[in-house]
Amino acid sequence: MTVPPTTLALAATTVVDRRSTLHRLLRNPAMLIPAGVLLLIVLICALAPLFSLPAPGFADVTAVRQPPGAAHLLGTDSSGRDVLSRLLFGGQVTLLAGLTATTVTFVLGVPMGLAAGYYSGRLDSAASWLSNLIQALPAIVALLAVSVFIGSNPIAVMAVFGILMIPAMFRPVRAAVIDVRRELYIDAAKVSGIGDLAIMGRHILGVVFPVALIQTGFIFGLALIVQAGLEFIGIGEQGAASWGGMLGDAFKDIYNAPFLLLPPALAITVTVVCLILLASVGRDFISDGTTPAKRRRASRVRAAEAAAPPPSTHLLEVANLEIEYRLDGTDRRVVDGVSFSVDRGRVLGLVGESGSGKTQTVLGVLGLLAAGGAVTAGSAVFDGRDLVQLGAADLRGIRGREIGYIPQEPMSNLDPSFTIGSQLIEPMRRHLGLSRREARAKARDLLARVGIVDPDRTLDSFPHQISGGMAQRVLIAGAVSCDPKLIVADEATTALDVTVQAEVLDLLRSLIVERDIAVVLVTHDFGVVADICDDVVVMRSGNVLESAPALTLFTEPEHAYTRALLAAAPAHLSPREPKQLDDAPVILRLEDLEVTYPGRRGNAFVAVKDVSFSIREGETLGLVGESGSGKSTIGRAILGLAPVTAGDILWDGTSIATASRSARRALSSDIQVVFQDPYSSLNPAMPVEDILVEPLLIDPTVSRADAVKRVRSLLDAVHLPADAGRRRAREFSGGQRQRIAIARALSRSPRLIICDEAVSALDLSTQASVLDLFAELQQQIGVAYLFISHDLDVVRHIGDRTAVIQHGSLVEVGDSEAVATEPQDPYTRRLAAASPYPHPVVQAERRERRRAELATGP
Amino acid sequence: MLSFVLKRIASAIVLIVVVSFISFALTWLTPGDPARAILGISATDAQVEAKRTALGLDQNVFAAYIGWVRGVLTGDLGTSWFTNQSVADSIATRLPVTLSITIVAILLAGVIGVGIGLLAAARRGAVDSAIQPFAVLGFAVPNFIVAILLITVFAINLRMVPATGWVDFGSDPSLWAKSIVLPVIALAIAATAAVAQQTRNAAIATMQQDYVRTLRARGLGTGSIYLKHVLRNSAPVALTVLSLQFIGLLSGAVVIEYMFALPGIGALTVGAATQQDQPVIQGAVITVVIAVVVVNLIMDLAYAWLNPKVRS
Repeated sequence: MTVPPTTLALAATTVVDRRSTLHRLLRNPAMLIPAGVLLLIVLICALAPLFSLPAPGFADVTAVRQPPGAAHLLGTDSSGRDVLSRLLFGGQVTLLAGLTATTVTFVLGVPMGLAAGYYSGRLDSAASWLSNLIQALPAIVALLAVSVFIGSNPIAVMAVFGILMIPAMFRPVRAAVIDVRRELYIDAAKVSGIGDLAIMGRHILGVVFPVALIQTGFIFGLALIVQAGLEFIGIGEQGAASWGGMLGDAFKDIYNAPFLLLPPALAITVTVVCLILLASVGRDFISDGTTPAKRRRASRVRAAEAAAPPPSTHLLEVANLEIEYRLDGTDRRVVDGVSFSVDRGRVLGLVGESGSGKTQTVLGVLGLLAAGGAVTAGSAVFDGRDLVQLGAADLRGIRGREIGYIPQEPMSNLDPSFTIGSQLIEPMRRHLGLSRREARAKARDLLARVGIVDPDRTLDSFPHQISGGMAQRVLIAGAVSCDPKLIVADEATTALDVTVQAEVLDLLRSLIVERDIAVVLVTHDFGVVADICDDVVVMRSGNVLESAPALTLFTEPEHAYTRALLAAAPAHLSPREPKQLDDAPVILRLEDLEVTYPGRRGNAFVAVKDVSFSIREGETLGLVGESGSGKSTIGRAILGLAPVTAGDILWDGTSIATASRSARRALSSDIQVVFQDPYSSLNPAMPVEDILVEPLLIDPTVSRADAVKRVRSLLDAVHLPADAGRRRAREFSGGQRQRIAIARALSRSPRLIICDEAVSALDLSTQASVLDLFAELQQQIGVAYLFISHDLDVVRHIGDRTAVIQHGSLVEVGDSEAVATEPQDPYTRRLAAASPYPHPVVQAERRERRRAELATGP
Repeated sequence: MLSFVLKRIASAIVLIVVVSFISFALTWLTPGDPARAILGISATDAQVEAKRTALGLDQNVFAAYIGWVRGVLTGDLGTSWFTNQSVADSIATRLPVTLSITIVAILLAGVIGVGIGLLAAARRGAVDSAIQPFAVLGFAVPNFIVAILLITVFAINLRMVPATGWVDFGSDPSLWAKSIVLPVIALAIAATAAVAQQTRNAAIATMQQDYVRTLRARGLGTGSIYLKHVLRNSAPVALTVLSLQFIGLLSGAVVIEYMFALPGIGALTVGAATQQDQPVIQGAVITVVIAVVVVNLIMDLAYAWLNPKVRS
């Protein structure tokens, strides 16, 4: 047996996790009180024999319906039996029956949910089918049917009830497993060579355990109710004491002795309420957010002085705007004295990194801050009216009518349940008073204007039936539909591919000229600023650092921070220095790789087709493509996370396309991965040290002490402080998390790291420093990278060679500098031309060239 | 859309077949001889044997089941072992009672629950703070205890409605309403609480979606946003809860019918269970499962109507 180190680590991590959650729970009074009451009830019932009570079945016919007194603390019932004695001994029966049902459900439901969620496929279909079948049965009817054949022994009946309750355990457990399985850190653990059982134990059980515990509370409560219900209607052992039976006896005597109802009714209700309270508190605790007790205190602190709006010659003049958010009683200022102005026909860029307050500023101006946020000072004078002072109704008259809004994510900003047409028509009818027919005609014209080929069909489509680029055009059509004077665009092109972005920016530009609109454009991309903005405001942590006309900002940036940001723009990063790699051995070779995903009704989706390339030791190959091009699928196929349906992947000359799990595990020390999303790729609840130690301890010869030592040097290599290991992943920023993910990838000294959009989610300055880290590590240890990115400029900086992929096929492979400066393939040329260059004059020339090429092109 | 409906109908039929077969087969799996139980100890072995043949107990389980299914398809659910009454007849007279209380209760729960849930999500404040305890109590206080309270207050003390008894809708609608008002309330409270809480959570989750902010940015009124967009997008959750609650109501109706002496399917099942009257139980089980299947099918259709992704 060579497993002990891993098993030990497994036990250690899960215990730590569970204990901390339990600790937080136990400090909660909403948890403590019901738990205490329950414990008391269980104890008193269990200790009943010690209280020298009359036997629960002993009937004293001379003393029926006695009031409470010294001889009978709770009086006697209609047959002269002691109520207290029946209550306590009956409690034993009732609680034991409930426990039986709960145990059966737990023992059967949890493994079923785990297996179905983790392995999916047929196993999942079968388990879900069974669960749905059981769920359709009304419990008491089913139990009555069964009780005919198994008799009325409460334990046997409750065991069957436990089976009927399986769906209540199976479904949440399965859902929790599926949720976790989608997280990238599960993929990362698989790539690290960690086995299924260890993954389940370390990453999945920790999430499933609280869910199962909470369901146990609900199921226990339900079991008590159903058991009492059955006894109440007389399905149970005749004469035996139970809470339901007592209630049933008392109910028959309701006209003579209604007070006999009270003890069993209270016993049942208090016990079940405590159980349900425990379960509800626990559920709210893990699902944090939408419960009344924990919700944000929304308080709208209006600016005190309701002064007349300051006179302004601009269309929109924002002056000394302050925005605060109140979270758990403390106010946090996210925008601190921001001022800017914009006029018709001009575009103002609001630029900054995440957390700079640029989006909050425009949402504040529009009166659309999330609950808990408020403008606390300053003014936003629009066309003579101060938007900060206006009432909700007046503001609604301006929003959509005079100010249009274009959001960032096209797909999530359309209501999925309504057609595009109805969503475009609704505001026009409200603001312009058009009839349905007029509004529809106008919507059709608008869609045609924003470049949608088949406006009638699009009007009748639902959002999920159109592409992201089309959705963004629809949103732009919506923003201009009521002829606004001002448009606020919040990262309006960030979610789009560069080629689509260029088209959308062209569209915006022409609309601005045509309709004489003013625009406030929030963005982090200096290329977009250079392409479309006339004036720029640079923001950092809620403050304006500098404002200037666009050309001035790019040629003579005043502030050091602005200069640093401009220098960090991918287009300004230095090109890769040529390296001599011809003698280095080829480590990875792809031969005509094809990846096909099985689709519904036999419509298989070919994600990657006939892709061939190779990577040498110490080389960086950049792989560039737009969304849906199949670039990430190639990386996942190499890692064994996507199915290779044809062709081959060779590692050191050996085929790994269909490697077995054990072969994969052996490979895991050689090939590693860094994913795009630093938030999903690390288990947020795990201490960093445990995350990094995990892959090291797969090797049974490595002791925990050695592993911890290695972790220290890894943290040092990625420039994180030495004490970072003790903190949990969720305490770190995006850039820091990405460094942790890199450290994990490095831990077993791999020869190839697949970087899947590894810097795309980061801010510009962070992105530049993480890119530096990649380069530095390569120099030190000679690792090779497959660097997957959507950004030609980033790849030009980091890659020795660049491969360009479109619709699953490679269109061009060559030295990065050559591909970037003299692209051969028309698609690469389009890609290069579409990416905006962060300098207004240069970008204007590039734009003209691109238009000319498009006009003459095929 | 059509294939979605056909799929649902197919799975409903499978469900009915599986459940009816299992409950049918139980008779064959149980130790002891039902024929002996019916006739009593004094009967001779020959009499018992004759009874076994008469009941079809001498056949193998599959043959007997197929015979039973043939009967069901022609509307014949067999006869009671004890009263020789036609099972189909007694179910036909009792089904209206059970459906009266469960369907009225589920409709009430849907309308009131969605209303309270939406109000709590939109206004927050007091309604919202009350909804969590209401949901806990609704779940935790068994319907028979609610019924005891209702009977004590409204029937015994205030004498506003009769404590027990059933009046057919056809013979007197207002007395019918009086006879079901307490049972319906006892049943509907838990379902209403569950629907209200789930609707509230779904509505709040919807309100945090980007598209709701975009709708506000277009200057739409609060009424249109809540009653049109938020309601439509939270409705699938409410429907799911309602179909689960309906199953719970059929279960709860057994106890409630017993308490209010309503001659429904539940009371029939309890009587048959204590007597071990297999054909009656079998008929009751199949009726209840069909009711579940029909209601779920209606909910599925409503769900598909609300969700364009299912439709296309």
